[in-house]
Amino acid sequence: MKRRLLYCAVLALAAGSLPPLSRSQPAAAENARHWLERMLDSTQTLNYEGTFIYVQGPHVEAMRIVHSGGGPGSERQRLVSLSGPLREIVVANNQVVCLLPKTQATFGGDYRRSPFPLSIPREPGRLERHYELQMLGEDRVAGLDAQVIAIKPRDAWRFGYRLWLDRRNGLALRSVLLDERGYPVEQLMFTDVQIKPQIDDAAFAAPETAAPDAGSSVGNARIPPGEPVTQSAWRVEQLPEGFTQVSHNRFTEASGHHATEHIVFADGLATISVFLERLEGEPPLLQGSSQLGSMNAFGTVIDGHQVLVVGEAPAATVQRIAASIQYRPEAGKP
Amino acid sequence: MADKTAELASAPLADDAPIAASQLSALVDDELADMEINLVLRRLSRDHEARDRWERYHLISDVIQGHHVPAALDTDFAARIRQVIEAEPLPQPVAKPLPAWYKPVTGFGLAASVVLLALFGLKLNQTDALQPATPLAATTANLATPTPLPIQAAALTRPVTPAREPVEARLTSYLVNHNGYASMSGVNGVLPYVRMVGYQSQPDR
Repeated sequence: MKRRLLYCAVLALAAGSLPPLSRSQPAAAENARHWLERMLDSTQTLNYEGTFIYVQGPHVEAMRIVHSGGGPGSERQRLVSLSGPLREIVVANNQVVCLLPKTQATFGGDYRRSPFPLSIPREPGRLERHYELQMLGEDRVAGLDAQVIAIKPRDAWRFGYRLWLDRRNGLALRSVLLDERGYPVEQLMFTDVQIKPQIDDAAFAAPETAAPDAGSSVGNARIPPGEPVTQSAWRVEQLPEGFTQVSHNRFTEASGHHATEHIVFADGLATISVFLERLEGEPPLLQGSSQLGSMNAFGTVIDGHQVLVVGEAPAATVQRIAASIQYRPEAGKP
Repeated sequence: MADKTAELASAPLADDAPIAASQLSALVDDELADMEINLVLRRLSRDHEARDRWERYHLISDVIQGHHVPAALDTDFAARIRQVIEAEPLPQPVAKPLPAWYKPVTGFGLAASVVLLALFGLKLNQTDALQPATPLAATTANLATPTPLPIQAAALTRPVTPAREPVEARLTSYLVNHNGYASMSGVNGVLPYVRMVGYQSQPDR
């Protein structure tokens, strides 16, 4: 009898402890949200230098990064590949200069200055409609204590993230992009990182070979800033839930005569681009599905135009967007 | 969504590792993940002994499940499919390869996909409702007859190879433009640029 009493007591205790457990769920999400906000702050404001490895499918890369904070618009960073052919990207003064093996491209423009119409990470409510935030405990990366959080998609239209954040300042020390089935598509992990009070300007000088007159020679592309589009013949009729149009530009490559329309959609984490370009006799770039590293692409031809949808989202998502694109030439006329 | 980071890390991923009996058995029972199927198929193509074993497993599986067992056993089915694939003409070399990050799905893994289709009747991942019906559909229909395999037709659906220079410039400008926006709206502003650097080093296929 005594034993049964004890058993009942244990049961009562267990039952009593259940409600607080389920109540702790929203608190965990709130904590994760707090960490996410810390991370966004630190990626914009911190000055740091470090080395990381980047794994994407079967490929492994080592890279060096120098980053100088200062808030949106004044952030600067330099990325240098440490393995394989030398590749370099400098993002500074509203310009992106890429030194890549075959092409050297400069992307100028004020896209960094223009306020992003949809800064969803700053609107957690919106983000959490399509992603679930979770705290996953602690770990260690690059010799530093890290807090692990998960951003899990609530449907199959988007990828998820797992993030290891520096417990001192929220800096992302490791990140894993997980596909719709939960497999890692892409991973980045610091092996060493140092926070600096200040970073010398020389660290962000354009790569040496980026001569200013390089725009004319073959293999160099200067990509001018886009012009906002107000009237377009193109409509994207159906977007997967949560994706909103954030920009619609038209840009012309210096090397070609093509004007390309570029529509950007975002759900707060994932960004999907739609490129629309008239094919003047040349064969299409892409028809059907393709994988660009961790991004998926879908190409199709509509009325003599190449339609290309690219984004870090599942293949089904880019395909669905491509399928809903409509061309109405009369709507594009001023 | 389950996170399989841990399992993957411990999975033997080398192409030349011997195939475990359990893996073969799982392949026969269609219990392997897509990634693993590709891997096992690659190993199968090199390991003659494993291929024989795999054919026996299929036979066992058919008998257990009460399926029709042919009067004469075709023990060389896999070998013949491999021969047809090997006899297939290689793609013409192009003057200058596309940027590394431009990888049409149709080219890669086609042989493996065809083998999958032929042996298991599995659907291809890349069958798009949007694309015009490819000869692959015809391949499926003809699979009931063991010979001759119409694999050649499927292999002909190769990506078009447009003139190099403008294509590269266009794709690069697309990528730079996309990543410009991705770096602002994404979870980690550094990642889009890392991706750009990463793509450029991947060996051309």
